[in-house]
Formats: sequence, structure tokens, C-alpha cells
Amino acid sequence: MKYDRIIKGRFVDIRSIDVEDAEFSYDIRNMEFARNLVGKQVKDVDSQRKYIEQQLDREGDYYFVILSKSGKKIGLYGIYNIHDNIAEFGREVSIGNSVQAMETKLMMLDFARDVLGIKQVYSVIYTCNVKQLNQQKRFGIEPIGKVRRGDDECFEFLTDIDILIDRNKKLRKLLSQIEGNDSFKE
Amino acid sequence: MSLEEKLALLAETIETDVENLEPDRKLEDIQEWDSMAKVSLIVMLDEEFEKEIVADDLLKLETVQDILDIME
Repeated sequence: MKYDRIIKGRFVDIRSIDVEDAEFSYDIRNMEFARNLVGKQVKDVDSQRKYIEQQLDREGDYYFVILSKSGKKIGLYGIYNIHDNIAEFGREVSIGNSVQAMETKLMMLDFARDVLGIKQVYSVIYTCNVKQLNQQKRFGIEPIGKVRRGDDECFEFLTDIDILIDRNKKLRKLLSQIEGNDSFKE
Repeated sequence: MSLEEKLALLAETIETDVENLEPDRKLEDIQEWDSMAKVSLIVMLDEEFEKEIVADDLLKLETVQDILDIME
């Protein structure tokens, strides 16, 4: 599905993916660091283009391109498998800085709750993605089980979106404090 | 500010134990060194030391000592 508006942030803007983003999305998903973060890769840019075409027609599936404030494409983020006010968050990959990555997460939570009416967030984290698992632990968010994605094992999480937004209050405040630091917007 | 005070402030900022902050410790080896910790560090350095860290500076930080060097 396509969301027609650009979601504006302090450090990033977010818009729906388009078939013209196929090369970017193929390239970034195939970067070495991304291989343990995202799911199965398609074989080439044409396949990626077809995937995006199908994704745009799919109900309950939003796929976004993250842009720096200068307009450079720096990442991808997905909200999908939406049913019964539950959405899966994932397909996240970023070459932006830490500030941009954290703001993206907040903006996606706000969008899901305020625009899509999502009440709970389902997500999986690959068992090898120690950093992200630690972050969940620090937020007091426990996995509900394990699931396989392709050849890999993942922890799965199902969390009330209001809890996630509440636990990120500190982060929201921190981001507002560094709003004037333009280096994190490039 | 003494070294002990700096380490205590850094530990509080990135929400880890002081014992994890040996100066030669690689940041990537610290469990709590994640995006949230990096954003917290940027704010702390600005507020406590009036040091504005830019995005490229963050990429250059490799060890605890690299952060201590900025905390002057």
C-alpha cells in the first residue's frame, strides 16, 4: 500500500517506497552489514522492482524509504502483516547515523498508532542481532517465543504500542535536545 | 573532573556499570553501546562539556578512552 504523504521529522523524512527505489533497496539490502538484519534477498534489481510492485498492491503492507533532511536515501522500514490492529515492524536497514535510526523508529511508531490505529507491534529479531536484543531487554520487553525465518532463528515480540511509545519518551526528549545539530540531518 | 567522576558520568549516560569502562575497552564490546547510548552521549557531552559532537565524530569513537579524551 502507498501512503501518499511525506512523514516529516527533525532528522529524517519518510515516504512510501516506489518502483524507482528498486536499485537503492536492492543495493542496501545486499550490503554486508544488512544480511543479518533483513530477510531473504531477491536475485537482482528487476526482481526487487517486481517485489515493490506487488508490495504496493498488498493490503496492510507499508514499505518506506528513509531520507536524510538533504534528501539522500539512507534506509528502509516496513510496517506489514496488519490485521486486528496488530502490525509487524521490520525490513529495517539503514546507512544513516544513530540519531536518524532512532528517530525513524519513533516516527514509525507514531505513524502506526496515530494513522493506522495499530494497538500492538509484532517484531522478530534474529538471534545473532545481539545489539537489538539488548535494547529490547533494556526496555523490559521480553520475547514471546522463537520462530524460524529462512535458515535463521529469531526471537519474536508482541508489545502494546503504547508501552513502546512510553518507553521511548527519554529518547524523544534526547532527540529534541540535539535538534540544532545539523550534522545528524545530512 | 577526575577520571573516576568522568567514568561515573559516562556509565550513567550509557546505562552500564563503571566496571565495563576500562579506558582501552572497545565500545563495540560494551553490551549497552547502542544507538540509544550514542544519542545519550551526544546530549551529555553538549550539556556537561559544551562539546558539540558531529555525526562523523561518532563514527571515529572506538574505545572508552576516545570518549574520555572529549570529556575535557
